[in-house]
Amino acid sequence: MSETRQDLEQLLPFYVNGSLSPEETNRVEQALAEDPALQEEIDFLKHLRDEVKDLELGNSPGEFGLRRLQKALKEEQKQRNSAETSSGTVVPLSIRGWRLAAIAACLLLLLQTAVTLPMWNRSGDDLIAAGGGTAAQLGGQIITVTFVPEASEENIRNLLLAVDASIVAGPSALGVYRLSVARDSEAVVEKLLAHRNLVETAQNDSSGYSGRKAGQ
Amino acid sequence: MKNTMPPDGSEQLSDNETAVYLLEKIGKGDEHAFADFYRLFEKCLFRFIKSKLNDSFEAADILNETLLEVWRKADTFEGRSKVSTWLFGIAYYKTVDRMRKRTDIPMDEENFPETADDSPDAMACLLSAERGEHIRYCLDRLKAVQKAVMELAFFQDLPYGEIARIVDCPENTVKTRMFHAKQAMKHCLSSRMGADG
Repeated sequence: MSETRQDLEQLLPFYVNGSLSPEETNRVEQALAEDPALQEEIDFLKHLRDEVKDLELGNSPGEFGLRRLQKALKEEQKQRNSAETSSGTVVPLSIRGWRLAAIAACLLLLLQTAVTLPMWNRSGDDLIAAGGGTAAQLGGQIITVTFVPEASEENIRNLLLAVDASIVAGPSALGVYRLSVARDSEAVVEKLLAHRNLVETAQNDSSGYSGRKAGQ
Repeated sequence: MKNTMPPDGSEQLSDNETAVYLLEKIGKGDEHAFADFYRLFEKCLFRFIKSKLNDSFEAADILNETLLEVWRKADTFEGRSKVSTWLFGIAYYKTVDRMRKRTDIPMDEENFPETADDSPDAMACLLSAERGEHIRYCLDRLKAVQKAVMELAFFQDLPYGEIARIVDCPENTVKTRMFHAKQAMKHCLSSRMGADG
């Protein structure tokens, strides 16, 4: 297949920059001998190349750029060293300190558990939640209760104070609260159910009471 | 200062042989060799990057990133290409990546027609007193890929095979891009002369 004019023209820029193979150079020179019009094209490309070479594109960063590069290298090496140290066998002093503190905290927790655990089985003792004044009387009796939707917080609060009950859990997703009472839980359930404008259901969990609705 | 250049008295080394020699040392962590490598390529690499970004600060950033990459990967250079081809390839991808993040640099759209223009005005423009300004104006309006090929062919004087490896495209594509870049330059320079006249 014969070479088209465009195929040949595509070689000219590389003929001008002197990078063609000897065989390609021969092809161009042969075509040039047959078609002197190609010389105009070559002249244009030569001038264009000279102008591109002379074009000033501003100063390069020079030694300033080298210093910047060396600084970046040092940073990179520093980061690599610290990564190697943390994954290697040498543990820095600060990390060793934290490890000792963690071991001491574990020992303290173990000691505290050993002291408080036997107290759980002693009857009549209440554990008081450290977070608040609502004494969760875990040693007392538990009542489960639901309130009517219209019951206000103020009325519920007054009722719970009247029967000396504390909320120890809830509300659940179904609106169930668990109350702890110090006194006779049966009597408290009766009192709660008497307030049908506030209480929907109440049951004594301590005695396995099956629960009643207010008004039943 | 420590000299990391090839020892005197040896046969005159080509630029590529010198670069390979330095890369081997850089691969072993020799910072002096790295400084020599920087001095060997810094100017032409900066110019290549700047010709596409047209922003000295960004070009300096990419020059820095490119040479950091050389430091990290020197020991992976296998000598399948010239060092300059490998180096310009890294710079080219970093530059293109940066250009994609910028919206003010056209990537591939046509900025002006490439129709062949045999008017003598293009040559007259190259011979005019304001030719530097005209060339700069027209180069700025080339497609980014054409500008890269023209810079590598006419400033770095690289063969099309090596340019193809740098910009990662077939050799025929490089020749076609260069052909279209020349046509576009002709058209642009002719219109500049028309505007002056």
